[in-house]
Amino acid sequence: MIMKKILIVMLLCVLFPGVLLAQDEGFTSAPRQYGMGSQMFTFRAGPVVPAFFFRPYLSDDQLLSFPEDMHMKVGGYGSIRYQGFLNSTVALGGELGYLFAYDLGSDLFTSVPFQAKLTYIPVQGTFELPLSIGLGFAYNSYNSTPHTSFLSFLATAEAGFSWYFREDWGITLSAGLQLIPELYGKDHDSHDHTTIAGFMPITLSVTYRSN
Amino acid sequence: MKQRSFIIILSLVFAASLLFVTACNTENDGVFYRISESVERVEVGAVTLIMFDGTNIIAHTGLEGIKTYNPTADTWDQLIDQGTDLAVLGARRTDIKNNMLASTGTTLYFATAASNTYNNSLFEYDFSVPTTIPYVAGDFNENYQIKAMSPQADLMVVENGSGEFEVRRPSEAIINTDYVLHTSDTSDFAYEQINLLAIDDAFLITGYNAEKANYRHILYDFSTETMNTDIASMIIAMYENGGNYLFIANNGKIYHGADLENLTEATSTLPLPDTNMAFRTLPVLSDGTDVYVQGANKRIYEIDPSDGSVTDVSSDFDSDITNVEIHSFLSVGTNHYVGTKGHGIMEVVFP
Repeated sequence: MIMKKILIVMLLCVLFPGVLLAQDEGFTSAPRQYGMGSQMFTFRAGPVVPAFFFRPYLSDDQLLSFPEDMHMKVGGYGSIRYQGFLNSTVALGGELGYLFAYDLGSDLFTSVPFQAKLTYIPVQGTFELPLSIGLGFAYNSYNSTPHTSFLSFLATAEAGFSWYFREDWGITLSAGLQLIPELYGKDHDSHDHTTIAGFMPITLSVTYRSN
Repeated sequence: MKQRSFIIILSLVFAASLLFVTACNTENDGVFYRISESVERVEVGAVTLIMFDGTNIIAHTGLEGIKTYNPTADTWDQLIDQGTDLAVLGARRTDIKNNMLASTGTTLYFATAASNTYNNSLFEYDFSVPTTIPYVAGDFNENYQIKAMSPQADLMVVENGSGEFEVRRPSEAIINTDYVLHTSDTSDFAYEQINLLAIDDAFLITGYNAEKANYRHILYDFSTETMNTDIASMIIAMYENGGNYLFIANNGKIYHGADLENLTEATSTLPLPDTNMAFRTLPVLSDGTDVYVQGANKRIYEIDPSDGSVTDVSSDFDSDITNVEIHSFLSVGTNHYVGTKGHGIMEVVFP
């Protein structure tokens, strides 16, 4: 059911630019020159693959990789992002997202990441290669018994491939890694449950850019 | 310039400290760890373990009524089929509630929750004599009402229509309506606020009288009856070993002693889940020596029967057990099983 919703959103992301193209058949792409003041608005959606749990203080099973070992299922991620260019290749902005994934027992884990995002675009034009890193926080909830939530640090990195089918509009396929640490002090009963969790969002984005 | 660098460094240190603090948990016990230990759901609802028939565990399930579970093959089957068997009763399989079951070890008894709560009938399912319609129904007078049954004992509480609560053995009552183990005046308890706990032939009726605003607990220990009105709470669990009893009230208080009139309140209190426990039975897990119960946050606590002291021993149990809600317990020889809420039946190994 969830995968179906994700597929529908991704399909819309693919169809949306097609509709815009159909409205303006005379469009010919021209390289965009970014500069200070250029802006990008991005809407993103796609599946998220639980990548790993790293538990450095456990005596065994310190690293669990991919959904089966992590006792999670593939979930979904969606976000909105705004960035302004600092110069011709670097943009700085923020991203607010929503990540969800179910555990093996069908209890829901959600994370609301909000982060500052720095994007470097070394290849520009009709096709672009955006590389991003982000730092921020994530509000994480686990809807099991007992229901628990915590605010954590967040670090992200991702790479994408963009196609600007119109001068202002483009789509991007991205893959990245979101790191969410859950830290317990050495005097805490659950110190050995300290975990760095990694999630891999694979997203399709629609971007609007303006000078 | 120096001042600017200082402000930047100070800001970075502050931001790093803030991030570190927010990434630290103080109240949780490991969300990602719990996720990594999560257990696949078995969609049968809350499981009340009843008995073992030599091959299968007989259990009541919240969603699908009475089922059999083969622990070797890890397979479930429906014991009472909706289409044929229950049609005879004019009931759905979910009309059989988990507090309307009793057993002798070879025979299962159950009552259905009819829309008219009077005129209850008691049904018998004899595993040794499978028949097309494997029920024998006991007919009782029109005011007869089964108030509670104990799934792993041959006991039930009925209101007999004459202003009395009676404790009967279903195995006897089904053939002899006069067979009564204990009688209480109905004014002893509020009508709907009564629960029956049993260990083999010893049983405890625990209840509340709304009119008198007091609690009353009656223990029938094979031949001796004792009563307690001092424990101002429903009793949700009991354990007996060597003539010494352990009682847990729904406020988490623990009492121990030889009977209800000679109890000592333990200094320890059991942390219970936030949900209302008043009319629930808290399963006691025991291998005959050690006593465990599941408390708040799925933690497993060991209770010392001699003094009621409580120790969190969750880390000594398999993490599967501490990641499910335990609803019932059954020992089959040296094997021990828990019925869970949402995760079927699991074998539990004591530390």
